[in-house]
Amino acid sequence: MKTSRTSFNSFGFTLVEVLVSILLTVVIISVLFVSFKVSVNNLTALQSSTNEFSKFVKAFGVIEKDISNMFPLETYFDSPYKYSSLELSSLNPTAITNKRVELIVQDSSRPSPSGFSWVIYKIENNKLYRSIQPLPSRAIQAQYELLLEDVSEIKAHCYVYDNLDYYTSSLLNFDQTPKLCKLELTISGRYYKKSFIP
Amino acid sequence: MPILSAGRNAFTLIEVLVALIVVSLSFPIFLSFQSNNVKNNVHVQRVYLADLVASNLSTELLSGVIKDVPKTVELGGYTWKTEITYEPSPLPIIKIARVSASYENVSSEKQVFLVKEVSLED
Repeated sequence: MKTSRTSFNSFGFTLVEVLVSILLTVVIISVLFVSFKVSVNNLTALQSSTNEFSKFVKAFGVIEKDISNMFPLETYFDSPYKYSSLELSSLNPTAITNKRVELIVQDSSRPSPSGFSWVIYKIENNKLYRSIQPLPSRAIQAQYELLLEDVSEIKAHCYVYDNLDYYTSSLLNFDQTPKLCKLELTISGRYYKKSFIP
Repeated sequence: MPILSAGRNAFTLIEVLVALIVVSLSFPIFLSFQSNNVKNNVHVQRVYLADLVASNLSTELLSGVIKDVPKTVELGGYTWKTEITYEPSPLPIIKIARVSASYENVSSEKQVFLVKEVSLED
């Protein structure tokens, strides 16, 4: 009995030692937990930001290509795409009198000619969708692909040459390639712009 | 005998606490790696945006839509400082315009060749 007590005392800890060690462990674990939580939050934010950015870069390229493919518009005036050209060019008469063609795609679907296909953009619930149809027919249901999320606005302005005054009098004279196009996007409240020569 | 044997094979409380402290001290090092990763990613995005700003301005200058660049440009949630400098070129009719966009430690520069305006009086 005596031997057993001695053995117990030599291998055990006092209550104070155990409490201090528990306190120390709790402090260390809580610090590690907070650091880990911050780290995970940063990683999640980084992943989200990277995904958003790569999608934005890809979307810019796709829209730029679509706009570039619309020109020269003259190609389409005696073709089945005539209506599309007129619709695109008559979206904003004020801008046309200022010698620039304004293409706005917002909260509705706007067809545009792109080669032999029919490109449609639309924004629904702040999501930008794009669809390509082989023919400008409403009979075929457009298969939309999600291009970008959290898009509140998209605009495209194409500047034509200054010496073409007759643009103000007739919409049918869009017969030249514009000298500059500006594509503007507002994603997650951030404004982005790309200027390019189609 | 079984109690003594268990005591020999197990870690003491002090050893466990020391190990825990060592792990907790090494954790910030791993965190700093990740922090650097985040910083690098943000840096790459800013470099792309700086390039976009400089590219936009140089394209607009080239097309003649603008004659001069604004001092600041808002893009991608940042306010970019922009600057343009002109240099002569070997051809008298052409001048070189260097457009730069910068934000903190990120900057980008583009150069365009502009044809000088020639007046009839010259």
